[in-house]
Amino acid sequence: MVNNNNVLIANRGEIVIRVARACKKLGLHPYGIYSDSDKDSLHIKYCEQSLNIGDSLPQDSYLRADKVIDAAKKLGCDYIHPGYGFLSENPKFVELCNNEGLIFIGPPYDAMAISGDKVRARKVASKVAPVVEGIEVSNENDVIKEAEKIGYPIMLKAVEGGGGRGLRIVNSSQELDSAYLSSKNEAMVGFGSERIYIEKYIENPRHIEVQIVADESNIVHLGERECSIQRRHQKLIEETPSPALSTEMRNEITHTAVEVMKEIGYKSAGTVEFLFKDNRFYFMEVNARIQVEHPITEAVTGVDIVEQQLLVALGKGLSVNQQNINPMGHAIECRINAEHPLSFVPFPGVVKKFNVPKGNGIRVDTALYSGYTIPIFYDSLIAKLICWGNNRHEAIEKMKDSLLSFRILGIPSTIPFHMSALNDTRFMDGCYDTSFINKMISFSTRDGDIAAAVFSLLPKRIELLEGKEEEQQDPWMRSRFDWMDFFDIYYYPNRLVTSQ
Amino acid sequence: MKLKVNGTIYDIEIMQQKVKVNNEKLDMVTSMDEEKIMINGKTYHLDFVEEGQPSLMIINGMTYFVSKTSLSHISLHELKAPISGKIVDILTMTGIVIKEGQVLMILEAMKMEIQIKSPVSKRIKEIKVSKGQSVKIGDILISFE
Repeated sequence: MVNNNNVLIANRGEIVIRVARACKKLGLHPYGIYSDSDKDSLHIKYCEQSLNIGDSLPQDSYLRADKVIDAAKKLGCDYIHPGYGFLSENPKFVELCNNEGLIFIGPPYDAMAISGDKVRARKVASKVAPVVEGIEVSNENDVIKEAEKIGYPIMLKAVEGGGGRGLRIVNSSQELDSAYLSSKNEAMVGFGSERIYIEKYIENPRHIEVQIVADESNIVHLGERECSIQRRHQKLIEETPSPALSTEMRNEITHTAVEVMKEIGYKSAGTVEFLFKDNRFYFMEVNARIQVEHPITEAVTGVDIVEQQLLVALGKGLSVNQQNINPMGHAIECRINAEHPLSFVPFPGVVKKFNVPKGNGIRVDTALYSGYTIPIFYDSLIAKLICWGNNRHEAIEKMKDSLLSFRILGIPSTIPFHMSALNDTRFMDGCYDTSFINKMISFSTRDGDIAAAVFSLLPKRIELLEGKEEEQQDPWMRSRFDWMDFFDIYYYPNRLVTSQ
Repeated sequence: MKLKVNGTIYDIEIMQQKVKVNNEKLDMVTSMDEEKIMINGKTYHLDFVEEGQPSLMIINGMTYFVSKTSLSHISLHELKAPISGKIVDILTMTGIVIKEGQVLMILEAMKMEIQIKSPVSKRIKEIKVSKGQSVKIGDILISFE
């Protein structure tokens, strides 16, 4: 049977636009879906036709496998690209696609099932890669026994989870019981499974991942990405190459990643994540999808990773081989999220003005536009800013310039965070790990006089300063910042993470 | 007047088109769209302003918290929603005396669960929302005695 050239991109926002571009490059036709609150989303304009698949909540729309498959049929699509998040790493969805005669653009069912089960993935990977000591536990006695064997601190994880939900770090036996129970509960609520895994906790490691593309006969690596700048296990800045790896170590880690994917029988694009500490690396997990940070790898290798996914799905195979991959220069990505700079609480709202930086080696992947209202139901990622330079220093300088000329009006974003991070000496020296953010100093100590002057000039503020505000002003507005400190944030699956 | 900006105090004197900061004169011109401000010939972008105590401004991609230095502490009678979302859990009851920092509600917004903790130690007069209810930013959640 000959398949048609129609691809349903079962996602929302910037990744749909990204995939649609790759489709058009290959003469394929992109189709889309959207939820009620996404009817004004820019991604719809990049698709030939899009269908509304339901209510705003993800579980009523983008996570509904049945509705997505139904949309693919109605739109006459033989292919489904899942993007990232939502259904992208759900083996049941892959199976459903297979049963319905649709081609899932991603790894085959078996590879997806192994990648999604931390215990299985670890077992398979341990044949060819170093792993952190650990084991699945089934009850309280078990967890106590294993924790003693491994030695504290230990970490509890949801076997079928991701993004840090259910994750607990335990420093002593006194904390173990309650941590185990709450981890199990959270895993049940988040993933519908109470399987828990215990492992040795490696404090403040680096996160380094290797990008893989694979077809029936070849597995090619596209180098590594350094992803250690995270807040609550959510990545904020990524760069490639990693400033932490020597040439030998780079060869070893990339070679190991290829071997892991061979063992799993992986096809399409995927990532092998490692922890790196004291010049040793340990296999962590496989991400069986296109990742948010894939553009930095594209910037240094010149390979269109989504195009490779499509070529593999079309049965044409990869258009690259290991010999013609020669990474050049350095690339950095800053994730711009809509969030309050103090509390990091997501801040949906109306974007009054949106002007992206432009220039040689600058890429912005986004679905934002002036006048767009950011819905409250989804991820707070609003743009990805990617800068390429001949070397790391050039890339950093270009990123700082780009952040300065990036205008997002009406909502606060992580741009101030990135300005501070990029000016931090630890970042400039390339000497950082996952604890980076805990010790970060705000860059905004500069130009305080300018800020004071600007504040005093705004007419409304002058009134405020003259004291008329006392009775008119809402006490809640005064206090809002006072209690921002009281927020703790818990993310959902695929995004992060935890209470600590 | 004195302004506190990110912890540092500045002396401000306002004159026409000029502002004196710590006795240093700054020439200021605001452009038509009001987001661009020229100070001594250099352009600054005011990307975001949120009033409050302190107020928040984002200028040229940097964050500034600004407040007047002498401000008496205002007592809180109500707790309002910091963000639009859905109440997924209420962990307290009317009439109960709660302590500062105690978790009162869990709000779900943008794929996250946000714990709302009490900013004060007080008795709860009324809980104005119920579990499962959607709230808008600024809606009153709880009133205190």
